[in-house]
Amino acid sequence: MKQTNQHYDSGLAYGVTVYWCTIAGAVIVLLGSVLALGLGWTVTPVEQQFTLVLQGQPLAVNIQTMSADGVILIGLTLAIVSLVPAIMVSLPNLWRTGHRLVAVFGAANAVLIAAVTAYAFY
Amino acid sequence: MVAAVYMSIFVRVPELTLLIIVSLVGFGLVPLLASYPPDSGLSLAALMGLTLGSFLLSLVIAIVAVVAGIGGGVIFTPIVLGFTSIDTLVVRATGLVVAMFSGLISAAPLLKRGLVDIRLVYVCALPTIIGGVLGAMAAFHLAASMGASADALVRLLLGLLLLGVAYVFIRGGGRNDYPKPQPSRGLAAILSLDMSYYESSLNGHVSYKVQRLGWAIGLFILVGFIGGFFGLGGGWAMVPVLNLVMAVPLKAAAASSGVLLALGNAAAIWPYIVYGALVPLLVAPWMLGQVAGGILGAHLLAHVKVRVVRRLLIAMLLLTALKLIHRGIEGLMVVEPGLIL
Repeated sequence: MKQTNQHYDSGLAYGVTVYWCTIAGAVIVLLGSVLALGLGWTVTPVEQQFTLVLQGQPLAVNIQTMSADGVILIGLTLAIVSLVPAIMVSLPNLWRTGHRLVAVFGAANAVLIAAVTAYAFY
Repeated sequence: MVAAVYMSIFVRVPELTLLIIVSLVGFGLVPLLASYPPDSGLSLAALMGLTLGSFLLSLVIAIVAVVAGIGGGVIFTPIVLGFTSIDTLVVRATGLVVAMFSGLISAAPLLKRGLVDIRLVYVCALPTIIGGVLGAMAAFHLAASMGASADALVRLLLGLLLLGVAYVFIRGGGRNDYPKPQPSRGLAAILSLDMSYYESSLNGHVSYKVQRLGWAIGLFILVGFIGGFFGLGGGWAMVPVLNLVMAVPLKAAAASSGVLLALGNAAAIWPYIVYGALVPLLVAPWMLGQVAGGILGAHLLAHVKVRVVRRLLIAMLLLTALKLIHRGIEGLMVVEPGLIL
């Protein structure tokens, strides 16, 4: 059923951006998993990671960008951070269609997510 | 009927078919590439079993979670906390990933069908994000300072709260499926949050106006806090808030809750990553399962009757409540025997 609401396009822009970035993130996560399980390209050996986790020991994994753990984290980050541009592309249409206060709420969401993400990497 | 719906989804969504094929090929390559030392703790077969088992379980959880609008965290976290010895912070970090990824991937199909209104999502996401970050930070502070007794007590109270919500849904019967539209007041009126969606089972549009937005914002901060603290996500409480407080029809509430979860948890996950509680290799199959299951669930939701959604939601609420109460009492008896006995 075709939607006629003016703000419908804003939702679509948000959804499509997040959708494809999440699929791209999933492919990167899959690549990281295969590199870790298949080639053992991790700082902490795979079998040791699983053994410690299953034994219930607190585990602070040493994540380096140039490792399979890092590749998995990049995939997760891509999907999560995609929310920020997804929100931003949806805002102009919301603003134009008169939903300005809702657009301010949306912008605040994007700023909060971006700020917490930046703080985490800092 | 269900099989035909599933098959049509695979044909209409080629990226889903491709993702599943690539996943199977990728994991199929692992045994050919891997060479683990014989003295290593776990065999390759055990590692692959754990990974593929996690992927399949995550797939099923995602389908149920999207259809019920509860987020997978509320199923994942109690099950894993209840039946394994994995560190609670590691479980909660993974639980947040499980909670948010089905919501991320299901947003597009649900928004496209008009089941979710982006205005409602943006307005409700802000308090949820704030609450979620505070909850995640509180989880680490409390784990360091107060020990397990406070954790067990909150679990018990949360379980009792969920029992109450389930009771309201049971008593409400079908009365809350399509709340009668009332004129919006206050902030909801200023934002002009009057909405509608096409209900295929009624073959017509269902209109609704958001009510009691001020109360709902306060509740979303609380829901976000609890979701971030326990790694549950918070979808279990979002549907009741949207449906019972804001008068959003149940099916739209369930759909909106999933999309809202993704936004709400996007910030709450970072404190767990910063403190090293997220184990990428453990999270990976759960994330992949949520992505594939989230797409399937979003396409199935349009074909599911509201009655089925409500029954599924009640069953999930009761199951989670009983598990949380059990764990809460168990935790209090271990930590402080005099408190219960």
